[in-house]
Amino acid sequence: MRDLAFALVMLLALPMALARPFGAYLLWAWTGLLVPTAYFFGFMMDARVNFIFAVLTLSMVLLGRVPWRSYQANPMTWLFLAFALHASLCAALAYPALPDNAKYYEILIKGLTFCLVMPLFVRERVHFHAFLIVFALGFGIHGVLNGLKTLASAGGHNMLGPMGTMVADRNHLSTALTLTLPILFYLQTYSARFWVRWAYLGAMAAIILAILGGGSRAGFVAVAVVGLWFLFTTRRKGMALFLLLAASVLFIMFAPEQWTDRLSTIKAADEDSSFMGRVIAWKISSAIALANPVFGGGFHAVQSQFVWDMFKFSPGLFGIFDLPIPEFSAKAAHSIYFEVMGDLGIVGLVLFLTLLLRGIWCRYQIKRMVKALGRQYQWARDMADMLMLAILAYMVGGASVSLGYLEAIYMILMLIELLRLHVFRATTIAASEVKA
Amino acid sequence: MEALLLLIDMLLMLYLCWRLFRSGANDSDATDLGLLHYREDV
Repeated sequence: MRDLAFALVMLLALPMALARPFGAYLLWAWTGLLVPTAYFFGFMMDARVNFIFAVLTLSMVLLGRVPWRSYQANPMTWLFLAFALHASLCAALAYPALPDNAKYYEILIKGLTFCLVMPLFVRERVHFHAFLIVFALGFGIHGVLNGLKTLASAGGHNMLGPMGTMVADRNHLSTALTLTLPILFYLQTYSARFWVRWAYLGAMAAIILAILGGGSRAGFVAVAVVGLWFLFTTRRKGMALFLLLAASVLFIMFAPEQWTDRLSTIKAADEDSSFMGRVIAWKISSAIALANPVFGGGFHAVQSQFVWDMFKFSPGLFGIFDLPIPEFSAKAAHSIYFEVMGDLGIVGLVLFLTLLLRGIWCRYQIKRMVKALGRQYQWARDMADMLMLAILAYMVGGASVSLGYLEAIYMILMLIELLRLHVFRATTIAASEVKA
Repeated sequence: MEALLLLIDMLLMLYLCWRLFRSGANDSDATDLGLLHYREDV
């Protein structure tokens, strides 16, 4: 039945997408974030809807339906291009027979391609707002579904993301979902309709419930950081305090006992075999990077048993610690930083960190410019705050999960750069008006 | 419950596309997102 409903919705959306390239672009984003086919069981299971909207949008761009001169040139585009080029070389020069090399390379390139097109479409406030709505509808829905299942099962639900995607694992999904919280908070603050604001608030509560009930320590740490940053920086301290209190109550009510036991191991990390396994994976990832500082080992090289065995005796960056030689088989890098370092070398890590830091720098630029523009652009400052908070959540939560190639973070980085450009244009216009 | 939420999600996305389509302006110069629109000041 849901297959049929989706097919009908797509049939209705397609002509509108053909008429409005921005609509096609948003449908590309939505199908990429939602991965709707993961929720189907019938004839739409194998439908390549995301591919269809990607091809449709790119065709319209190539055919000149969206003029190339409207491309907003910006430094983030060049950084993305450099990162994509470097990643391509790393994938080509990877260790032989890496099982996930092609898969993760494809994920990254698809995500970067989507973001590289964004400066053609996202320009005015309405575009930013529409894009954030699509982000919430596409990505937030995974959290809302899991949150409601946690509620219905009184904490017994085993959280899962869409199968076959990067966020299928509960730790990955928990961390990725923390990125949606600041965006929902912005939408909740600025939506015009009362009931829409309540819907966003409900979605936030469901996502917090999903993260806290999901049992992921990375997700818990990320959501705690988001909560505290909210409280210290937002203009709406009352709402932030209310959300924090609500989250605490939900946590006490729904966190399963084994979860609180698991959480307590954060304090005794050196005795926790799961944590020590991660440290070993970090050590081996760093050893791969030191052996291949320019091009790394290739995508998810650390997960190849051949590469793991080759580097398991190397101290990497952890020579000062007395770490045991691992007896277990190859495992994931368990950190965005060590993942990128092992896969794309030190050069790749520097590029990756530059992207993230550029995002944070954009927020400070926007804040400075909005001060001069006045209250009329307060929305831009609030949006920049929330986008930066999403970046921070990713940087903190990602420290212990392999989410280096998550499309959502690259979208946020390009979005904050375009927001900076939008505010910069407004500043230039205001300055010329003053002169006149 | 899952199917219902997915349906709502799809319909909201369809509504957004409809609003962009109705804006009538060329390319991406939408001006009003209808029920999903933003307020100017907070």
